[in-house]
Amino acid sequence: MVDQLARLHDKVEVFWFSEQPYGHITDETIEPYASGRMGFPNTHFDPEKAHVLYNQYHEQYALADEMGFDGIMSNEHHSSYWCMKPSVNLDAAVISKVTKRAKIAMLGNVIAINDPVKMAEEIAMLDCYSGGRIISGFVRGTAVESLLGGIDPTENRERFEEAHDLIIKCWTTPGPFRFEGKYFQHRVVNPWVLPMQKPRPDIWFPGTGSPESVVWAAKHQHPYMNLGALVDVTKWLKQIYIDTAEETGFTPGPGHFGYLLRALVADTDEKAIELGRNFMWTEDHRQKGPREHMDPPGYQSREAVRVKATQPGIGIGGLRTKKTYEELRELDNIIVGSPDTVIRKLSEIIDGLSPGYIHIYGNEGPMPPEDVMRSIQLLGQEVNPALHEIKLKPWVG
Amino acid sequence: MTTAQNVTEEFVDVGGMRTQMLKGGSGAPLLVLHNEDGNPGWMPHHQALSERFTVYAPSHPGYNDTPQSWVNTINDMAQFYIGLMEELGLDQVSLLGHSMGGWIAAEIGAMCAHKVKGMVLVDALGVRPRDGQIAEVFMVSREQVQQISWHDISKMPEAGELSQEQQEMVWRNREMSSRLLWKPYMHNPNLPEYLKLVHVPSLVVWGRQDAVVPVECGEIYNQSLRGSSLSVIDNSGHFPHVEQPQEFLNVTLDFLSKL
Repeated sequence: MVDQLARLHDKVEVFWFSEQPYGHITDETIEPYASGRMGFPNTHFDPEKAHVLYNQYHEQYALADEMGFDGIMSNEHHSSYWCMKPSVNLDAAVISKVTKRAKIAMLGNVIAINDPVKMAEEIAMLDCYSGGRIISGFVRGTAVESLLGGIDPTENRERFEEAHDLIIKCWTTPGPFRFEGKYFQHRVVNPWVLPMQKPRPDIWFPGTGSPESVVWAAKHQHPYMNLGALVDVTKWLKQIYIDTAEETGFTPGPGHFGYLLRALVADTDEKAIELGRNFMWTEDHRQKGPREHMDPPGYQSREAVRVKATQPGIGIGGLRTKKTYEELRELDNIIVGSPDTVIRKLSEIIDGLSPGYIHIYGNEGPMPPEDVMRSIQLLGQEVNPALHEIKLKPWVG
Repeated sequence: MTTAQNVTEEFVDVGGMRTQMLKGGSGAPLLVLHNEDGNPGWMPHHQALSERFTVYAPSHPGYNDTPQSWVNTINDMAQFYIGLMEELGLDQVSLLGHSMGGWIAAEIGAMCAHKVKGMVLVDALGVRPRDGQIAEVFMVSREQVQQISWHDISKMPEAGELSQEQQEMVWRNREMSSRLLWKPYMHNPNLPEYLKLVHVPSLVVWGRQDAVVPVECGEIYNQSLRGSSLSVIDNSGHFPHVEQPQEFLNVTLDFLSKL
């Protein structure tokens, strides 16, 4: 059993990640609709095709584990053709069965829109299934997740915080006990199934660029995972984490920070550059829609909106700064190439950020499955071992 | 906030809550309850009504310069206004509310009929139609909401250039409306039943072409309120007091002056 809370990190851990897209959608399919999510009709979904795709994605997990990835990260979105995972816990259950060693990081459960006690029970089951390999990320979700969950977006933050506290209490306080919160009330809480990891599975918190998310994570001593911001902004966010940690009274280090970027490896640079174009798949449509879908009043601070507006994001629509594939490659926001190229570029990022975790967003839209499998193989056999050689710099002192 | 001559802006302490309020005119008390967009300031209809009544136009808790404090629901809002009436020493008050303000008025009437002389509910939220539905206004663009709110959109007042501070206030007002109106969506399932239990002389005013809250809701209000009448105004959407101001004032003043 791994004590995730110990946070001894002198080498980076590399995680595989796929959104599990429904890659049959094209710009032409989605062009006529004003919204890429809530208003994009689900009549475009074909379960027969999804069946094939899900199985391909599960094979990716098995291969990533076999190739020695340190972990597999998964996530959850709703009403999203680019992410066919409305339940991260179901996906994690699959990962726990098709892999043997890799950590399973869920990034994560949208706890504000779910019953926290059931979340605590399901995650505990997963930890038992996997032999203590679960990292339990909690997310506020995009605003669309709240809207689809029927939750007033102004309640999201408070509901998230209350659910977070209740889930931890489920794992660490012997039952039965009573919980009477503002949003969740249970006069008897007594989950039979508890996590293997003690005192509890690690909790991660992601963000795309909002400084308030970094502050929240640091105040709770949870590792913060940045999802795809530019490296310079990520360095700034890391400094906010360090400052908040010092105010809170702990010494932060690489084990408190992870970074996700899009990356693909092929046998040659040319082939990788060509395949990498798929990262721009339906880029303009994924999150399009009225501002009220992504940024309804009360969901996030105006400061968060201002920071995010400077960032390209992944498949993020009108609220973001749009950049071309070439520009994103230039900025190392998308990294594609032969193993040597990718090792060089990722090593620079790791030297600069000293993150405990790198998440490889390595599959997109209509990428041919055999090329994705080859990328996983090359990452696992050539890139990851080189990255493991890098000795991470401590953050403080 | 827009004011005119003989209108004062006051701050009233209601149970520790510093409540912003415009006050103008003279005569019997008329409490005007604004809609979910926030306190619009002293408008032509306030001015016209203030020639016969003392018009009180407060900003609801959570709107404009009144703090939200403990107010989280429309029920809380109605309780708050009963407190405001106490604080101001008002008795036999007439209420006039538009949209969300109409819903608040109806809840006050149901809770505290003996203090209410009469009420005018204008395209009020609060009841759920049996056949149609109250339009979605949160998960769509503001432009779309404006499109469905007006029969003739050229009658919509120009917002003009907003300062940073005003923009933030608009945002806070929208946030408060989200809290108050999200679920159950813009109605109280039991309000029609509450209203059957009391007797408050009422006028229900509705824009015939209201595509936000269908006129069917006005009919339900009218059926639930004993001794009420329904006045449907032609060529008007959700804002009859702005689209057809003269007809609105005629029916409203006629009703209020007979109370």
